[in-house]
Amino acid sequence: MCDTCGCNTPDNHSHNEHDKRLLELHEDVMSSNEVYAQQNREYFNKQKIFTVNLLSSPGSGKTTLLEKTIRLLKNSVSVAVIEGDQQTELDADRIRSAGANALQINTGAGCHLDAHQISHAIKEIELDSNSLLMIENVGNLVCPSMFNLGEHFKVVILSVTEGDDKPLKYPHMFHAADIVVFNKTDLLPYVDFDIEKSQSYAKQINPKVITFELSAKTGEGMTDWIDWLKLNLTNK
Amino acid sequence: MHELSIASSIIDSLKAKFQDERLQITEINLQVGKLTCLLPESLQFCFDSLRQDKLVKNATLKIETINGTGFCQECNEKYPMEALYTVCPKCQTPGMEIVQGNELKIKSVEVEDV
Repeated sequence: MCDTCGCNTPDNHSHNEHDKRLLELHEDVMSSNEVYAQQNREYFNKQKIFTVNLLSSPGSGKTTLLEKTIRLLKNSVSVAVIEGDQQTELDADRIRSAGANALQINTGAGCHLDAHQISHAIKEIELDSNSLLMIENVGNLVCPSMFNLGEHFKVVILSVTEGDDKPLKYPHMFHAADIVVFNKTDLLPYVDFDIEKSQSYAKQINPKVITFELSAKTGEGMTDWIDWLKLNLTNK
Repeated sequence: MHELSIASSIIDSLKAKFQDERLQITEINLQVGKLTCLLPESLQFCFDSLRQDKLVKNATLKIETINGTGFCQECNEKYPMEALYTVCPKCQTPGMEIVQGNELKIKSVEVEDV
C-alpha cells in the first residue's frame, strides 16, 4: 500500500495532479479483430474459398441446414465447416457424418467466435482451393453480430417457431446480415409466424438483405439456397 | 455477454500500447455509440472485474454515450436515429445510413508516471 495516499499501488507514484497528462488515442476497440478479419478475408480470396458465417439463436436449425447443404453440394464442391459451440464436439460429428471436413471450436464461456479464433482454425483445418467454407457461429442473436470473421456473407437463420418480430427485437444481428434464411417452413401451418411481416421488419432495418424460405428438414425451398451458393462459388 | 470480450480488448490494447512505459492509467475515456449493442453498465461491470493489471488497476472508466444520426439518401438529410430500425422521419424510407452512433473508441487516457 502507498504510504502517502493509501491506495493499493506501490508508493513511488505521483501525488501531484499536475503530473497527470491526457493522451489522445482515438483508437477503435474493434480494430484488432478487424485486422485478423482482413487477413482471413485475404486468405479466402487468394485461395478462392467462398466463406459464409451462419448466425442464429440456438435451435433454429443451423446444423440441419448445414448437413443438407453438404449432402447436396459434396459431389460438386469441397465443403468444410468450422463449428462454434460453447461445449461439446456433437455438431462437428454430425457434419463429418454428412461428408464434410469439420473443425470444432469450443468457446467455453465465450458467446461468439472472433476473427483471431478463425485465423487459427483455418491453419488447423485442411481447406481446399475453390471450395466452400461454412462457419457455424455460437447460437446467439446478439454478440456475434459485432465480430467480423473475414467471411464474404453473414447469413442469419430465423426459424418460424421463433417470433416473427425477431428482426426488430434483435436489430443489430439483422442489420449486420447479408442474407436471412427463414427455416422450418414445413411448420408454418402450426405456428403464428407471418413470413411477409418478418421480411418487412428485416428490410426495415436492412433494405438490401436477401431472403430465402426453406425447410432444411423436408428439402422444400433448398434449391434456391443451393443455387445461390453455387453462383457465388462460380464467381469466386 | 460480449461486453466481457470488449472490456478485455480495451485492456489488451492499452497494455500493448503502454507496456514498455513506466506509467499507470488513471482514467480511460471511452466513446460508445447508442446504435451499438453495448450496455455501458455491463461494460463498466466487466471492466471492473478484469482490471487486475497494474497499468489499469486504478483507472476510472468514463463512458461517453454518442447519439445516433442517420443519413437519408432520398431526402439528402441527416436525422436523429434512435434505433437501427428508425426510418426517415420525413419520407419514411428505411435503412438510413449510420453517420454517428456506431462508435466504440478509446478517445483518450489520463496517465501518470510511476
